[in-house]
Amino acid sequence: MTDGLENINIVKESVLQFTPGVRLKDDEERQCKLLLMPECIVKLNRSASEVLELVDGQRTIEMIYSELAARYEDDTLHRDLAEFIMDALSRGWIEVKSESIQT
Amino acid sequence: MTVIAKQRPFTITMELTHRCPLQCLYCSNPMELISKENELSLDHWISIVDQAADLSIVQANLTGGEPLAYPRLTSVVAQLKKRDIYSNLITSGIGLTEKVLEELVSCGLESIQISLQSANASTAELIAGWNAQAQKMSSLNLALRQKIPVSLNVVLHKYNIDEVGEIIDLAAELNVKRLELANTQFYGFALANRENLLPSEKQMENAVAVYDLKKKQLAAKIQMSWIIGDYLERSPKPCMGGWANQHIVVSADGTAYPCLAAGAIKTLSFPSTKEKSLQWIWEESPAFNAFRGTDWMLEPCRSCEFREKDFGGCRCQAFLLTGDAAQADPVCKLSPHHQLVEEKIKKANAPLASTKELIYRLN
Ligand code: SF4
Ligand code: SF4
Repeated sequence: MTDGLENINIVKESVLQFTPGVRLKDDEERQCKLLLMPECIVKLNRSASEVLELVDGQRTIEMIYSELAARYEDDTLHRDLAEFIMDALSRGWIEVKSESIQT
Repeated sequence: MTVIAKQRPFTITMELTHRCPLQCLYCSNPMELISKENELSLDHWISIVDQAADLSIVQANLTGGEPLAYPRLTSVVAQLKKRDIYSNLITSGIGLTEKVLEELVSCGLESIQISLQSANASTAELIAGWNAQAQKMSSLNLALRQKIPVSLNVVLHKYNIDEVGEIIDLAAELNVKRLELANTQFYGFALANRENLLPSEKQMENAVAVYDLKKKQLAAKIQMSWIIGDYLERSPKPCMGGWANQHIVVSADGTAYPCLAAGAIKTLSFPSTKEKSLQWIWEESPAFNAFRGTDWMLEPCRSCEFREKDFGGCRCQAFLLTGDAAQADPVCKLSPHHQLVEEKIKKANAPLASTKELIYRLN
C-alpha cells in the first residue's frame, strides 16, 4: 500500500493531519467540499473529499485505507489512494504528524 | 445581450485603509489615495462581511495600505470568523507587535502574509522610501513563532531581481514555509515608475535559472511560487478566472471592483457598497457585467481559439496601454497594439539605466 511513497518518510502507520492553515469547509451553496488555505481555495471532487474527511490527526494511512476499502470494492483503490496522498503531501495540504508512527 | 450565468464569488479583498507607513515604488494603490476621513466605519465592514458570507464567499484578504493601521481590525477578523470565512492578513509587518498578533490569532485570524522589499537593508530602503528592514525582520520572526501559517512575499523588479537567490536563502534560514515571489504589476504607483522597475530579459533569465535550481533543492522545506510579470510573460495572463468571476474587492472608501487594479479603467463607473448591496453589485451592476463572457470581445480575441482560456488577457492592461478596455491585452502577440509592449521591453533591455526620477507615494 505504500507503493510510490518510499521516497519520503512515510509508512502505512503514519498519521496524517492537515498542514496548519489548511482546512475543509462544507459549501452548501456549491454542494461540495472546499479546501481552504492561505491564498488558495480548492474545490474538491467526491473522492478527494472522502479521503480528506478522514484526515484528522488520529487516523493512520492504513486506517484511512481500510475505511475506504470497506465502502468500495475497487481494485485500484490502493494505487489511487497512494497517488492522492503523495499529491496532497507535495502540495502541502496535509503532512505526516511527527512522532506519529505507532509501533 | 445574452445572459451570462454568474457563479458566486469565492473571495473578497477588503482594503481596510490606504494609509501605510511605507512608500513603496511598486505600490498598486491608486495615485489618489483615500484619506482617513473617508475610510469606512466598523459597522460598514461588519455588514460587508455578512453580505459576503450570504454571497457564499469563503475567503477574505485583509489588505491596504497597511491593514494594521485600521484601528478596528480585530473586530473585522472576529466577524469573519463568526461567518466562517477564512481570513488572511496581508501586511508589511510594520506595527505588528506580539500583543497585536496574539489578539488577531485569538480573534480567529487564519493566515498571515508578510512582505519584504529585499534581502538587504539598503536596497529595501531605496524601494520602500525608508529603512524598515529591522522592524520587518522582527515582525517576521514574531509571526513565525506563533501557531499561524506565515507566507513571505517579495515583489520583484529591476532593483532586487538579481538577489532572488539571496531572498530564497534568507527565507530558508528563517524557516519560512511559504515564499511567494511576484513581479511588479504595473498599476497605480508602479505604473508611474514602470521605466525604473521593469527588469531586463537577461535579468529575468538569470533569476529564473537560480529560482528553478533552488526550488528543486529546497522542495521539501519551502513551498515556492513565482508570478511572472505581465510584460515578460509570453502569452496574456488569464484574468483571474475571467472578469468578475471569482473575486470581489471593496476598497477603503466602499467602492467595489472585480479586481485590485480595475479602478484604473476610467471608462467604467464602479458601484459603491454604501449605496448598493454586494449581491446587486455582483449580479446586476454594469461594471461587473461589462466583460463577463465573450460577447464584449473585439477582434482578434472574438474569433480566437484561446478566448475561453485567457479571456483576452487583462482588461486593466488593455485600458492602460490602448485606452480601450475591450481590446486584446497588448501583451498578446496577436494584439494590434503588441508593439507598445515590445518597446517597453526593449527599453528595459538597454544597458543604460533609466534617467526617469523615482516616484514615491506621499503619505
Ligand atoms: S482585469 Fe487584469 S488585473 Fe484585473 S483581474 Fe483581470 S487580469 Fe487581473
Ligand atoms: S487574441 Fe485575445 S483571446 Fe487570443 S490569445 Fe490573444 S488575448 Fe487571448
